[in-house]
Amino acid sequence: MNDKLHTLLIRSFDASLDENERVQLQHALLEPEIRHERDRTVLLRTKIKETTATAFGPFFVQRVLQRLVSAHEEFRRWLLWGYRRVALIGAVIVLLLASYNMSKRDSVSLAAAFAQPEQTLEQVLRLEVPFQ
Amino acid sequence: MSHVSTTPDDQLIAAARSGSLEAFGKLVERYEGRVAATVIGMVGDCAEADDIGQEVFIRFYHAMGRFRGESKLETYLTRIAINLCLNELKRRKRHQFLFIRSASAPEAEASYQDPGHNQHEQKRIVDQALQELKPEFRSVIVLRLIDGYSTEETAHILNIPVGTVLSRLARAQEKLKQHLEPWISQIL
Repeated sequence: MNDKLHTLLIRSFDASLDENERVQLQHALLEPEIRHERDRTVLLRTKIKETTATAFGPFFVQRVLQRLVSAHEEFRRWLLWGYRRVALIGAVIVLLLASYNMSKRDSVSLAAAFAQPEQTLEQVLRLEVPFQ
Repeated sequence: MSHVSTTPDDQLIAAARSGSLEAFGKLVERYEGRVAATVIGMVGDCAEADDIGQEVFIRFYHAMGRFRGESKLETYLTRIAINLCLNELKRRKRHQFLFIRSASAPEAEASYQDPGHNQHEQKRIVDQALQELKPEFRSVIVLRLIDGYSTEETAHILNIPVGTVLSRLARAQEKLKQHLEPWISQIL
């Protein structure tokens, strides 16, 4: 078979031919060999289309939704895990600082733990009215 | 046969964006067939196909905020599917190169058996013939002949010129004819 005609025949299935090409193909199709090739191509294309799978396994939709829900749940768990770690580390740091402050002042009190200056009422009042 | 909702895609997408998993489920149900045809055509009927199918919809779920509806949802999903399948085929090739390089690869012979009217056997033979094609040829066959996209749409999805689609289609069909010759001759 003429290569040019074969190419034209195969192209006719997927692209529009111009008038000249259409006439050329019409004439060519009078030959049994070209017609046979056309029939082979039609059959091939039909069979490929016919044997196509049209679904995944059963419960596909449910599996997709389950994966989405699991991903959300996973993210929430990850956040919770992160939050707990941060909270625990923060608490340990606060306790260490409080212990350090108390040991430095040699006193066990909230004021010592948070390093607040220990002032008497008189001292505070004096600070409030410095220019009297 | 399951009932597929008739609600338009954009309404279902809007509902899914607002957090409705039910709406998203309807979209999955609606496009499962199209995605299955693409994925199974590309990677064959195997466990990975199901995973890729799920991944297509998961990716779409996360990208829904960016989906503006410029292309049809079907085309958008097909593009995700094709890209994931091409990645899977590359992964398989790498795996084959790393682990089966020394072993003598079985010759790509069509284990032809008379398919008769057995739909399952016909499917197996066509599937096997498709798997023999290189990914770039297989993708045009899947999009054009299986999914039914036009030549222009196929070119757009694969981001290649129309002329390349046409030449790949011609070569791929020739290879398929060679592979399926005993079967085709028997039918004609």
